[in-house]
Amino acid sequence: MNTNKWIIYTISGLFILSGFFCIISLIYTSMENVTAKGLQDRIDSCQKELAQLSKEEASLSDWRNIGKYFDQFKNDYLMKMEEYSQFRDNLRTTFNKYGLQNKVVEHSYKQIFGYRKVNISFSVEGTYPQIKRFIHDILNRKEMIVINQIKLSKGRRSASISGNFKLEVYLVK
Amino acid sequence: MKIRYNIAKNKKINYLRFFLLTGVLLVISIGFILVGVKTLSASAKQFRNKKNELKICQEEKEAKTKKNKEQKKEIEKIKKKWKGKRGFANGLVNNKTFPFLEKLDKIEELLPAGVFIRDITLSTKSGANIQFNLAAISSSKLLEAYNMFSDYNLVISREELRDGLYNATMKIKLVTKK
Repeated sequence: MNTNKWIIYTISGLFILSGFFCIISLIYTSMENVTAKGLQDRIDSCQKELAQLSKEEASLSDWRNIGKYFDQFKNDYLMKMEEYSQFRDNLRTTFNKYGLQNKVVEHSYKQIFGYRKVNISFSVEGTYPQIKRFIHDILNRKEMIVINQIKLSKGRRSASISGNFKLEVYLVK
Repeated sequence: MKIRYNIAKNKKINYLRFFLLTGVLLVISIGFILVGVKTLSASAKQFRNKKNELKICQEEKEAKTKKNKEQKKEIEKIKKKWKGKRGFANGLVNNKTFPFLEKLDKIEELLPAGVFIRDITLSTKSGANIQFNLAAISSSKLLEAYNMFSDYNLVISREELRDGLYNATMKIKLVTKK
């Protein structure tokens, strides 16, 4: 009889405890879900920051490649030594082409930013339209031949104009 | 009619019902325990996974932040170099496209008849500022020239009558489109 009583107490106790355990586990899980949601939010924000950092990383590779645009500019527009030599010869032909008189062309060299800068100065004599056509020719060349200064004054011959020019050219190897 | 009396000291137990009920309670209890354990373990596993995920992400972020600091320094260096190169290229392009002819054309357009330019200097350094000497056959023509150039910040620095011509040294600011 006593044994039966103990069986009843034990089973009832086990039943109550297991029920209690089940309810507590459900409550605990739902509480933990709240914490897990908080964790998920932290993961999301961390991943956003990671994406931002990856973007910055990509921006570095863009910056590393930016030099190629300058190289392209250099190759396309700055003169090479042999081109400059041709230009020097060509300058006299251009004077003749526009009927301009010239005696001296001076060249002076300087090293700037790793490039050879050439200052070219010369004076020409001709009519105003001839000088304007010459300016137009120089300005419309593809190469970076820069006119820094033009000084126009009365020429030695009647109706002629004297033009003093200062040009600038950068040479690359 | 038969009358039955139970005169036993203790109530007679129906063992079949007793063990059946005990068994059912036992099964339900085990069920409760299983549900509880499963719920807890699943939740703990999910929680652990998320914690791990967060840890990995934070480690990765830390490593990238460190790397990015060095990269930012490198970017600053590249930017500095680039600024110089860009300035050089832009300066060249600006000078190359300096509107010499447009400025000459404009001055020609503004110059009244009877007035001519003795000398003129145009340079990329002085930009829009142009200095020139002109001569007019009469003072009224000179005044007419002043009037024409008055819209261009005209500054007259010298005026004289020489060889029957009215000479003036003046400066204007001429902004033309490239």
